[in-house]
Amino acid sequence: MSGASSPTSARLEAARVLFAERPTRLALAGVAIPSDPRRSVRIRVHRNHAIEPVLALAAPYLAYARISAEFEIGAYDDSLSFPSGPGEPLDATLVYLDLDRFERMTPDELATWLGGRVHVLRDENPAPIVVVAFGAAGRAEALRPALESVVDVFVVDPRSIAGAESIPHVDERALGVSGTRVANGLQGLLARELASSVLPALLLPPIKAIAIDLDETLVRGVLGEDGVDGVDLTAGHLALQTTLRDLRERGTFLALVSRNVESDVEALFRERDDFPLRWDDFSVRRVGWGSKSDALLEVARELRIAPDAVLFVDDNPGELFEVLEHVPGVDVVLASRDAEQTRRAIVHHPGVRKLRGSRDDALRVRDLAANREREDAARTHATREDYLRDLEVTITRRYDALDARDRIAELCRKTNQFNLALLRTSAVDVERRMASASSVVISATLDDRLSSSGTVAVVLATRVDDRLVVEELCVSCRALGRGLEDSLVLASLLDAPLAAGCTEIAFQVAHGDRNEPALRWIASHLGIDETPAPGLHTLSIERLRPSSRAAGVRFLAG
Amino acid sequence: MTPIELEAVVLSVLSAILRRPFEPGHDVVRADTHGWDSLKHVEIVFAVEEELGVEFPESVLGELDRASRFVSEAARILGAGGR
Repeated sequence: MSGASSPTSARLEAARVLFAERPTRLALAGVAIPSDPRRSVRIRVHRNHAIEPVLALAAPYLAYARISAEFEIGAYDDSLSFPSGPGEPLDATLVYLDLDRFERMTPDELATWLGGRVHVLRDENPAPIVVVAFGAAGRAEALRPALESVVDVFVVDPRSIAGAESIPHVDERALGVSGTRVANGLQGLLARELASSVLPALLLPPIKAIAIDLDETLVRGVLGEDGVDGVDLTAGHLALQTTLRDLRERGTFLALVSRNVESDVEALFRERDDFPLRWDDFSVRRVGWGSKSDALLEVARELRIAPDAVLFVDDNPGELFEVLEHVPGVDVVLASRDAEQTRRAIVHHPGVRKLRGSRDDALRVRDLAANREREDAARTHATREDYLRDLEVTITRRYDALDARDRIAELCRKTNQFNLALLRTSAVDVERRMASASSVVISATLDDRLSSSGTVAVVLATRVDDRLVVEELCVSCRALGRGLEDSLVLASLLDAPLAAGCTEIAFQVAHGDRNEPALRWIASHLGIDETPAPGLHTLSIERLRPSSRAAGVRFLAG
Repeated sequence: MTPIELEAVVLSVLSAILRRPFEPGHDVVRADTHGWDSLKHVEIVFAVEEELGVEFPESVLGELDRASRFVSEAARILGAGGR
């Protein structure tokens, strides 16, 4: 164990304060976060009451999320006139409102007016917009439909963050000195929500899997010593397991990584019917006596995700240090004896929260489980064509499908391995491309008789004379490994109405940290062994056509 | 809490929020303290309230312009039975 006074120790200590039930200002002011590499972002704030006391509390949470944020805070402005900025790119916009200052408006009038202002803001800048709407109970929720109908707009209701906690929401007394009526206790919860959950969900790669220990983490006690009936499911552990089950249902993989005898652990989950989590809820299980870093790497490999998309949770600091030393990029949570603290540290960990669940998220876990059946099926068929036909593999192509806009943007933003141009385009840009006669947004869904993988491939292309220029090309990791990349991408591309009459396709190529699979794919079509240089690479359509449709796959137009 | 204990809490808040050490026995005055602006003042007020479990009345919030005023006001509230 290498650890005392290390940056890792400092992060673990910081987490203890940051994710306490009610962190105080004094405690937060004393949090020291190591100055490891951070993502620099610019966030513009439009507001009609003071956000500064909240941003002061948000600072250590942003540091923990490895975000270095520059906030451009406008003057108090009830009219939301949104003076145009100098045009520099933004990473996000915050609209920070006390809705009760608009008390002369009916809820419908406010929704219509504010919806109009948000549209203006949307046209001005493609960055995601977060509207923090503080006001009397129900006012923010009444606005949500009108505001969230605008692309990439998210409403945060500070009252809902407090949930059932009995803390004051309003402090009229402090308005004169603080410039806001948001009570101090609620400011702390709001700061944590914005800086640990909301902004990281918009700005950082997501956590795709939670790999968690068993003893003294998912339960109180040690299975090998206390036995199946001896380990304790405290109220905190019950809440922790319930939260993990909910995260799984929304598409986050769970993996169990435990030093135990596998048959004992399986018996525990089968026999303890008071456990919200079941044995099969873990997409990967690594129970044994090897190192946890090896187990983590196996978990990532089996889930087909990068190790830095895994959050590892364990009560033993030594295990955390061992994993951090050998698994690059992975992040960790030290499980506390108070399981409620562990639960908060997980749900508020940057990248765990998804602001908007989608059907595709929910499909992810089931689709991975089907992979094992697919692998079995692959072994029992003589030819690949027989295998694909027996599985009833179906690829459905769609052009400019507005209802898939958010999923398409998510794939562009979050796909790292099979992402050719790394354009990282926004939902706003996707929608603009859909409306343009010279561009096409292609999406492809993948289904077979075992499960639906949802929308797994995206191509953004623009027609330039008799050439189609592919400016973005992504395939989700959930579709990789099945040999269907050409069928997902090229068939949809060559069939696009915008491709009619084109003789060649130019692919924009960029180099990233992890997009080697996409680079290898284009290199194979270019007929070269080396990694293609960044820039445009042109191929004739006739050269691409033979590989564009795998035999045995059914192709449909959506 | 004794006045000395109250002063220790107030100084710990001032040190944490203003990011510099303040020693007991020397009053810290807002007008003479670089960085103690209106935004920091709000943070200081809220932090002292949290640490001492008090709520300063609206009428004095703007008058808490030195450590000793925080201490005397908190002592008055706590002496009267807290919030």
